[in-house]
Amino acid sequence: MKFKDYGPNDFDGDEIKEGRGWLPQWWTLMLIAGIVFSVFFVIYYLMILGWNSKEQYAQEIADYQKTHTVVAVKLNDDGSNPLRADAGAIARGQKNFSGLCAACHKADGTGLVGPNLMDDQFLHGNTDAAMYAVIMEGISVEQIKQKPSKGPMPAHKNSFGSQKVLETMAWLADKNSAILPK
Amino acid sequence: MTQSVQYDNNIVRWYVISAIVYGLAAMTIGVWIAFQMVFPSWNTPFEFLTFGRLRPIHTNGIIFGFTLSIVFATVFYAVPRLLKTPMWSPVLSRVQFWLYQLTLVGAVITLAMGFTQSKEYAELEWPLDLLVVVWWVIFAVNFFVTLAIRKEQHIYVAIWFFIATIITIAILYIVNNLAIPAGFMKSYSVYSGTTDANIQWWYGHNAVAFVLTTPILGMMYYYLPKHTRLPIFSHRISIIHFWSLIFIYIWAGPHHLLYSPIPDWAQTLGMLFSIMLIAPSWGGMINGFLTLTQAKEKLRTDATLKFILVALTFYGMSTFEGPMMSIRSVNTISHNTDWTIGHVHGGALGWVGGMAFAAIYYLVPRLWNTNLYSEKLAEFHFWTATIGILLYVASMWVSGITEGLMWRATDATGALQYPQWVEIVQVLFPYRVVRGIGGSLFLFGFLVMIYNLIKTIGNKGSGFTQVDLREGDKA
Ligand code: HEM
Ligand code: HEM
Repeated sequence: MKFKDYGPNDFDGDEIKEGRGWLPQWWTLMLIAGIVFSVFFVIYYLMILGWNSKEQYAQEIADYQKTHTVVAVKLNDDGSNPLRADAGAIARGQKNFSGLCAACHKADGTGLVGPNLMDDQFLHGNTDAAMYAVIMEGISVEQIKQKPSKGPMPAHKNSFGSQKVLETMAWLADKNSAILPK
Repeated sequence: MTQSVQYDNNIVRWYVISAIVYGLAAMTIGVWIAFQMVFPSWNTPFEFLTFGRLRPIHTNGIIFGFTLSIVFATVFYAVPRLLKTPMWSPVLSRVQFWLYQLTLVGAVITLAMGFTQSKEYAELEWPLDLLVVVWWVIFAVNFFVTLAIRKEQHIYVAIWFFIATIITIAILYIVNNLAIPAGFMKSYSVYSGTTDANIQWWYGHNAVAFVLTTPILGMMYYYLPKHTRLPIFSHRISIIHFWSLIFIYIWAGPHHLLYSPIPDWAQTLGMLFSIMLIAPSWGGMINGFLTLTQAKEKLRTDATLKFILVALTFYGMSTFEGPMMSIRSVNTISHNTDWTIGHVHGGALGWVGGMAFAAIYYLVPRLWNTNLYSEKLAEFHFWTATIGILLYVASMWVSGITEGLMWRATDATGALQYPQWVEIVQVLFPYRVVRGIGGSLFLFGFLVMIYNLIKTIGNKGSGFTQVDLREGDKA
């Protein structure tokens, strides 16, 4: 094949020369250190300590449950919400609601895929005790099959814990008088 | 040079132009998607302008369009010269080029239409995969026959790196893409579950290794000594770091799957092979640096040399950062955050970009037999690119670590402190704006380069003179 060109075809110039420099010592040490460390790590960590991710996970869950009790605040003995009418709790409750609930119930609580919480119709009861149970434990798919309602809801004891659930309920009760203390 | 050999420069010119075209397209899309992450309205009004469609076009365009084009340009330029043998078959070179272009066009169209295998960097559906295999095999045949009929016995380091690339990519690409077609643009992987994930990241990691690392090292080993006319510092380092790099890289894939359902021992292996990889990677960097120091005075005046310096620096940095991110406890913070994106682009803009620009500034004047239109503009390109990279990488570090810490923050009750995703995204807003600005600067530098090159090519045939960068006595 003939090639069209704009002048000399080859600008290769001199040949590349290769020096005889030695490996820098620190570099050789680093290479060896990496390999030695890896062998040591496998023996010590996996074989002697017997580390595995399942145990690490179980340990982290145990630590978590020790430091964070999910049920920090309880309902009053008569089943009503102790944080009702507490201005601070209501403000925090609104923030909680917009964080975790608004995606389904809309920021103002009037409902999207989740039911409207601002009217006087309640699928699972309108007392503090009934709502507390629903929010903490969630609505499982099994429950829906038995008693068809709008849809399932996650158990918020796992995400909020009782304190935040009660704050959120304080905000709801403040906005909607159809939610009764008992 | 006694006997005169006719080299096929046309194919090299085509690949240089292809690199520039795909570089421009993919980087423009990169800037666009960077701003989509701060201005969501940029996702409208067309489906094909949404982030999900554009992102794979960015990654495929930049890796398989821009990077591979400049790699092919180098292979078709450097290998015949190093072997003193023209490519065995200029016809095969051309067939490969056009099939490659066909694949790229097909990739852009099908990705824009939303066809994907949902495997990162292996999004292309089976008809395009088959096409890739065809031209890769054509390339391999042409390359190895040329090697077999070579007139120069010594096989220089750069060529080792190209050989490693050709063989490894073939294996990785075919194994990971094995799938059962279920219609023209739909297929199911033959692997399932964790096996699928493991094979995908064995591929994904080594796509990085054998497209964005080894051929770029090959480029460094060619352009650096050619441009400076200085000897490579050490042949010993070349040998040791080549073999250790090739051997270790292949095993490191599971560091993309830490704390996932793949077995613990496989994860640990991925992490340890990554740590062992620091020294082999740095071997290439050291060899480059020690060669460069012989011409350090000229670093002040020569833009090509500066790009090589920046490339080596970012190579050293990202091959240290990567192993750190492979450590399980660090990865719990960095995984899925902007930190990974910062790591990617340190390597991509700094190392791949820097070396690619050095290659382009080296090749264009020689290929069109003229001098570079403006060394000043090249200098300007260098500074905009460097500042762009720094803004990109630094903003992503801050953003990534912020994001990683906010995701896992819990309050006194043990609940998530930032359960609202949007709240976190709002905090990241300024950093992502800075990333967009950094990317825009990098793109602007690229445009300046294109202007400079068009002007240069306008003077084609006016005669090229090489600047002598050696210091002291010019023996
Ligand atoms: C103008 C310059 C560039 C800009 C503004 C840019 C921007 C972006 C953005 C916004 C993303 C998506 C990040 C996310 O999903 O959070 C991305 C991903 C990516 N870019 Fe770039 N990019 C540029 C250049 C490059 C270059 C030159 C390369 C390679 C040589 C590259 C390789 C990649 C890769 C591999 C990913 C996927 C990363 C991952 O999945 O972790 N980019 N880029
Ligand atoms: C010794 C060398 C390196 C090691 C050990 C390493 C390690 C890592 C690790 C641990 C991740 C994050 C995985 C995750 O959490 O999902 C990562 C991501 C990535 N790295 Fe590296 N890295 C190295 C060098 C490089 C270089 C030089 C480049 C580019 C030129 C690069 C490109 C990438 C890309 C594109 C990703 C994103 C993959 C994705 O889509 O998720 N890496 N690397």
